[in-house]
Amino acid sequence: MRKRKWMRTLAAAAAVLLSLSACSGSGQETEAAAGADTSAAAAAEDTTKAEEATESGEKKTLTIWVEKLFSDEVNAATEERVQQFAEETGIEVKCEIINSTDFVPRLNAAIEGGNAPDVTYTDTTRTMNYYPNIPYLDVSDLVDEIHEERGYFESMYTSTQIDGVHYYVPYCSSAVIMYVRKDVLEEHGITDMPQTWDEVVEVARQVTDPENDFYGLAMGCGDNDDDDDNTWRQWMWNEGAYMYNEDGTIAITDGNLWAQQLDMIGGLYEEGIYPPDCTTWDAGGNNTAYIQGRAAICINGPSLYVSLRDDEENKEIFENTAIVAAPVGTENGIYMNYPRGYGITKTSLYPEDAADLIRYLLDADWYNECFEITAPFLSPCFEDSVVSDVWDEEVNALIVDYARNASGYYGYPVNTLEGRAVASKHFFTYPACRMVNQVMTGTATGEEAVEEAVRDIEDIQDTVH
Amino acid sequence: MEEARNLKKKKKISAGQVISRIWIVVMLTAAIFPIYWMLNTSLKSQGEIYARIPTMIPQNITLEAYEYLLLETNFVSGLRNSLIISVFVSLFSILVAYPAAYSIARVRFKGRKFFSKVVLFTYLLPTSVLYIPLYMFVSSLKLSNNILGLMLIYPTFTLPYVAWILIPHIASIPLELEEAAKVDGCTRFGAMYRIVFPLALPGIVSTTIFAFAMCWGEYLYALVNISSREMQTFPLVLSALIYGDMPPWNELMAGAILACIPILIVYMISNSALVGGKMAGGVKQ
Repeated sequence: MRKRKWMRTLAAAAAVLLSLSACSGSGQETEAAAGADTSAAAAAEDTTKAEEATESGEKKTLTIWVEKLFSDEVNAATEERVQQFAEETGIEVKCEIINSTDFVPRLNAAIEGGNAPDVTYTDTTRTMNYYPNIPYLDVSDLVDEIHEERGYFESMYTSTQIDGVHYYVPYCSSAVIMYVRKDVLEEHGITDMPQTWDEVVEVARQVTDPENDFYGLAMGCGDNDDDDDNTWRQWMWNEGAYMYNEDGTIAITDGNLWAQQLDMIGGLYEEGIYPPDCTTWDAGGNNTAYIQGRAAICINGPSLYVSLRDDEENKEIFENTAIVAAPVGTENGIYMNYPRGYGITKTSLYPEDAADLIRYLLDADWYNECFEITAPFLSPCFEDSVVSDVWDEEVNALIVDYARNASGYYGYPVNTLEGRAVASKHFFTYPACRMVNQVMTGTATGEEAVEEAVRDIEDIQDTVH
Repeated sequence: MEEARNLKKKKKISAGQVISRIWIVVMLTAAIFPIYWMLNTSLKSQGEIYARIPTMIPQNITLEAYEYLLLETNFVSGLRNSLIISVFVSLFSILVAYPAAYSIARVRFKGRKFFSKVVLFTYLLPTSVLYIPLYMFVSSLKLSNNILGLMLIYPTFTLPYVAWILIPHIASIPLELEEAAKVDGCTRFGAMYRIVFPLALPGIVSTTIFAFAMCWGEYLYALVNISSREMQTFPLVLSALIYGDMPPWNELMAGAILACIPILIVYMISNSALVGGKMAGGVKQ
């Protein structure tokens, strides 16, 4: 009797231990990514599975995950296009439109569970976050073939190449433009739109009126403000301050530039050119401040333009807004590139068919029409896409110009695979925002904020090397 | 003289009462304000939501957000799926956790403390640690993208929760009541369900409501396991409304308001069972 009780206790303990060991895979983005199996053995096993499926007469099935775009029309058009492919080829294709915040946790779980879709929407940072177990196939040949046929913007072709390899087929790009309250500038006798960061700061100083809750520049630095992290980063680059060198080593302390810039930004915050609540903003904070009429200048994507244009209640601000190119710096005019594309996962049973599906989505006629509907949300990435009159319109032309000339990427100007992986993983901590937040809130000086950032980068380097 | 003293005393009490009532009103306002703000936002246009000075009462009341949510999204089917899952899982959890909690609270066996701690530790395991292994488990059973998969997953957090809450509740019921029943010929099983269960009912009901609410608003497991629109639960439908950096707050708040209704109904239905004092006078001290 007693023995039986012990046996039961032991069995229960074993069950608990087993369940805990099953839980050892972490749900965190990075750790989950590290579990993605990319071994040759797994690939061979997949090939066998594909052969078995074909021999048994099972219908081929592809799954594609597309990130939800701002335009419902385009989301629907993409789904329709995928179904057309299915009808034409006889391959069953499951298309899922997933919003961006849900994309990564779902993909992590799918990769871990061995159920990764065949094709997914991705970008360089997201792809490199999985390093060293990048879940995507090398699609360089496919990209070259498309490049030869249609001609990518050179910026799109090169910035999506990591250490000579394309892990995804570039599909589109986002852009950043500057929104300026021309009526406010005119009131202050300013007729020329600012073109450099120095001019932006100068204009912001002149128009700031904290007593009336009006500020020169809407830039935030909350914990999750990925939008403004990009803008701060771009500003730093333009003034010659980088986080990394080309070989991936840390450059953030070089010449003390980052620290100096941060202290300067802290001073501007004290002067009152940023809204006081900007330290708590998320990515929507700058748009909101601009729409509310609390800021004279906002640097943002085209989504703000569409909100201003389409909402009757924003009509007045829209009419008083000048839209111009994002500012450049005293050192350079590097713009952050935001390319997106489609990757084929290593676990796909039918990579050739997956490649055909991507080719189908990049068919010039459909693609060009689709991007004309989306304009100015996203820029196409082919020279033959922008010959239509649609792209001559003021804002659309700015978007295309931006995409055509953007050369920066997270970790710029890192060229090594490991260096890009560190930069990508580091990006997800929104380091630029964090440092700016520290100086604005007075919790650290520029130098102290940089020292902390160096420690963070070194910690990530330890996990990658 | 006596009257005057009584009057003074009365006045003192009423001052205390006034303060306590003010305090109650302040606390109630603090508790209800977020719900009011949800309702308020759900009735505004996007333009008014993003206005520089927030309006306490919508200037132009509009039901656009509700209309969009109910007619142009799969929110209704999401509510239905959430309801099916939540009802099933909360009832199943009580069914399984009650005997488990009873055993731990009442039966003396080796490893009782160990099991009691295991229940707690299992409850404390964070969702972010479990979601990938559980997804793998459900996938291997070919139940991913199916609400049956979620019905299998949710008890992993509701069961330990329900059991952990019920253990002290059952332990607080005087053992003498059970012993008296046994003297009258009741079996242990009979005592468990005919004596202890009715006495523990307020605790069971409130725990069931919490288990229901845990499943009702669950997001992460649903996110990784469900992909098709037909199988989505309502939190996924709401989450899909957010894209870009200007969320449609009116639609999100309309969804939140509508999602509160089933919880309120469950609470109102079970309200009569939430009565304490059933054991008062049951045992002579």
